[in-house]
Amino acid sequence: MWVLGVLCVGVYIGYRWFPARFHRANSILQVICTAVLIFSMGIVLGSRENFLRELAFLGVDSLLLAVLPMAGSALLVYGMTRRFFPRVSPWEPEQPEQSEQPDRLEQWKQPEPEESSESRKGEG
Amino acid sequence: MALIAVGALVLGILAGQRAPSSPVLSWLTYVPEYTDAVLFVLMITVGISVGANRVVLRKLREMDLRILLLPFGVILGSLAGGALCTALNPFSLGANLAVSAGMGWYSLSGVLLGEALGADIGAVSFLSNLIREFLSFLLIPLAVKTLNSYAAIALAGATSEDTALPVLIRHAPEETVVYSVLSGVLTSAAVPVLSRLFIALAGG
Repeated sequence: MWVLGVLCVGVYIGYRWFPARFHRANSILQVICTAVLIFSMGIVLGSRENFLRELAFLGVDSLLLAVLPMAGSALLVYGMTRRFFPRVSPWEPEQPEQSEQPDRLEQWKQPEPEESSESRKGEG
Repeated sequence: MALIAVGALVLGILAGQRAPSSPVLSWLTYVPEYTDAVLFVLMITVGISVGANRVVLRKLREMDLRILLLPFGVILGSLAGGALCTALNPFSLGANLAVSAGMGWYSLSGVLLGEALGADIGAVSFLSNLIREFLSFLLIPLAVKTLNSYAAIALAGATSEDTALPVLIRHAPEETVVYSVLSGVLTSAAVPVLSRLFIALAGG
């Protein structure tokens, strides 16, 4: 549950004073942290004494027990949301709000497009 | 992102195998002890992304009880998938349900099932839930495009509150993160309860 608390602190920082020019750096830091977490997961896995043997003997069963529950979850949730969220939900791809901002990273690369267009108008 | 994820996993496995016996790399064996700190930084950065986006906060205010459908669907779908496995593998219904109840939380599920139902089931649980977490990284972008963002959250199961978040935030609209965290928290809370329930069903 501490994760939720830390997330709230981050939300507050982002809402109150986080400068827009650091958004890209923030995004890169996210990727780095994720890579470190996966790397760490690999270390735990690789350091298991019988990892390769386990993978060979139990790999197919494990894969099955990963794929079918994933498919079950995704399909059931998809069906339920189609059934119980009849309006176009705000986070579906065809939502106009999102189509106006298709790529946040691209947006952050060019943080103030309105200003630059205005300045061009001024120059003209 | 997927390439980075695969690369990090392969390097991690190699490091896990080589580091303990290598005087140069042995410090790498301590990396897993600091994952909480990395997760802390990750959550701050994810929070910043959410907080900086005004749309997310507006959506949070509009949220209603339908949000509970997400963890409910994740749990029920996972268990249905686990039950289906009974027809395809040598394990009992209880064992398959117990493994699928891990919902990606490989460390907890692997330990719980390993202690109660034996090393084989423990290893299967560890591997399958690890595979689920890892496949989520690869399949979330596809699920967002072909199904919807809810389904992408469902793929990640209990990990939608932490490790899968950066992938979701990259490929789905940012407000998704709010629902993803709430679904992940509730799903994670159900993991130990359901695991013990199905361990009992499996005779452990």
